[in-house]
Amino acid sequence: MTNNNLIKGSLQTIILKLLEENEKMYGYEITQRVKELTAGEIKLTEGALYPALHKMEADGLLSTEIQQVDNRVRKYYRLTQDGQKEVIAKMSELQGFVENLQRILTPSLKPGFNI
Amino acid sequence: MRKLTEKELDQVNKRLKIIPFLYGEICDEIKDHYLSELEKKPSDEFQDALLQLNKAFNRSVVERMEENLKRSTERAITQMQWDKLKFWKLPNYNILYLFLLLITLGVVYLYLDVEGMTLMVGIFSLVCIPIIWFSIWKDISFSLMQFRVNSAKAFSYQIMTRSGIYFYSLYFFCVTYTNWNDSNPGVFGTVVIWLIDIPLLLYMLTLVQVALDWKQKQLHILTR
Repeated sequence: MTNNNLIKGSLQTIILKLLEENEKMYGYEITQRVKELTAGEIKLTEGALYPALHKMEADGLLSTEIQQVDNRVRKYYRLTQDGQKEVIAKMSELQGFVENLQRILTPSLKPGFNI
Repeated sequence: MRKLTEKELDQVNKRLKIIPFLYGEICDEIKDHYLSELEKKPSDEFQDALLQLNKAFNRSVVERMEENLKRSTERAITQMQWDKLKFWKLPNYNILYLFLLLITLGVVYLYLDVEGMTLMVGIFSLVCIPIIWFSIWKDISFSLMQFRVNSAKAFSYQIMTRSGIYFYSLYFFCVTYTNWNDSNPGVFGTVVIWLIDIPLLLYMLTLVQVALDWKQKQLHILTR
């Protein structure tokens, strides 16, 4: 099981990346997709996911759409234009961070090392 | 995936009723999560799964969800109000609102004494506030005995709050200038009244438009 603090720090990036690949998703679908992609190694908790989704909506990164599904209401999230820009920024930020982390963890790597 | 039994659905509904949701959208979203998860579980794992979900959606999580939803709704309404002010970007028929605004400001200018202003702003509120309340009334459930809102759609709740803010600003405004040197506020008073009055009127006009758009959107969803 991956450390919860690590997941917490990357939660926004995970959500943004998933929504970039899938046009729209609902909360439960996001938890299941992450579980599926990581073979159960990363489990997003509901207590972290939904406040994060709503915060990103409040920050204008996500827009929402309500649909009636099987006699209940389902809320779908999708990226806004700002959200799409944020994916690019977050991904490059994360990539830079992972590269630096690799250099620290494996000092034998050359300074020019790229993932 | 299986269909939940009536008894199981009842258990879920009972659990959700315990949580004092302010916004209906949060309740709907959590209910969808509960049902999506429980439908995937065999009936003998139902109770365990329900317990896990109850733990996951505790009071503090719901509060955080509500706080963030409130922020996003406030942001959306403010943005819509600003967009309404940019009348030159709106379709042609919205130019009517500009004329309405100019006429209102003309009346304000012509009758800028205490009585005229009170009358004009009062009539304006008498027209606008019922329109706003008509647009959102069905989305809000009140407990009149306890004088509180039971549950509401976040958008309607925020519009209601804003009309309340307007109402109190107006009250404050009226009290201030009716106590201002009778019917002659002087040059300084005139400028101050204008500075307060114009944003107040614009705020209300745009709020009425946002509320009516919301009502129209809701009707469109219902008839779809």
